[in-house]
Amino acid sequence: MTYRGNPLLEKLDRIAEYTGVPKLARRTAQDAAIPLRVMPLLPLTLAIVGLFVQAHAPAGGWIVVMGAWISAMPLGLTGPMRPPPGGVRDERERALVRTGHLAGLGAVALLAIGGCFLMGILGALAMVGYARVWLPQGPQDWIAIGFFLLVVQTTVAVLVASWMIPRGLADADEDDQPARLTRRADRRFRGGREG
Amino acid sequence: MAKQIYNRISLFRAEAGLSRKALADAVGVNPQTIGFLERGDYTPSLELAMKLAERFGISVELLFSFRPFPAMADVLRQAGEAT
Repeated sequence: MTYRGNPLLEKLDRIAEYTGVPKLARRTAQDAAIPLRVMPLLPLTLAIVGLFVQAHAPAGGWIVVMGAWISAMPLGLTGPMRPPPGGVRDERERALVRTGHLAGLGAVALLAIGGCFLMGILGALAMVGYARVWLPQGPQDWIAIGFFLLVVQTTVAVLVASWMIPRGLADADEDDQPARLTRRADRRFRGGREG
Repeated sequence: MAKQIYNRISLFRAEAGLSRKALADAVGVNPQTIGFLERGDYTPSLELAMKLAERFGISVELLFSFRPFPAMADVLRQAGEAT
């Protein structure tokens, strides 16, 4: 906390901390990796919705999936896998990026292989009238699927890399500063001192 | 399952009066990586372990171990009792 001793400024400082902006600014200043544990779910959800729309309204679904891909792209550039300012990753960062991309590619491979088998089996059943299934036919369907797989690769990679960063050190600013008291300990300390 | 590796990087870093950033610059990693190492959240490569040991002028065995290191207070107490 920056303003110690002034109750009003301390309270305002605490409110500012709740917004998360100072924390983000500190991490950016320290060149630390920023984990994005939830944000990648948004473009992923958008891509799933877009694919669903494409199956029912072929005119616009692929645009939604493409929008999801465009919104997912910055995650790889700003999140836990962003290149450090010096441009050279250390061994831990390289391992993080490698594991993230491998997980993303694994998810894409699983989806592609599983999807091929599923569409093949359901397509065969549909031909004999036992099932109703959407199968990609036109170019827009394939473009939508292509963008969908790109979104899956990017978001899964960022999610896995983010979850690999331990939570405890996400805000690693105690390096040259004294440890900050927790709010409970702070209250206890103040109570003890005042009482 | 990989075996837990304990280290006392923070102890030697404090003794040397180095900040995480200074140590990170000395061994060529990100300061965040030093933090993860100190907390045992990351197991370094042999190269990094040797670089760290070299920076402190000690052997790798004194810096890393499969068994937890004794607390400094216990070591000092035992040393005091021995003398």
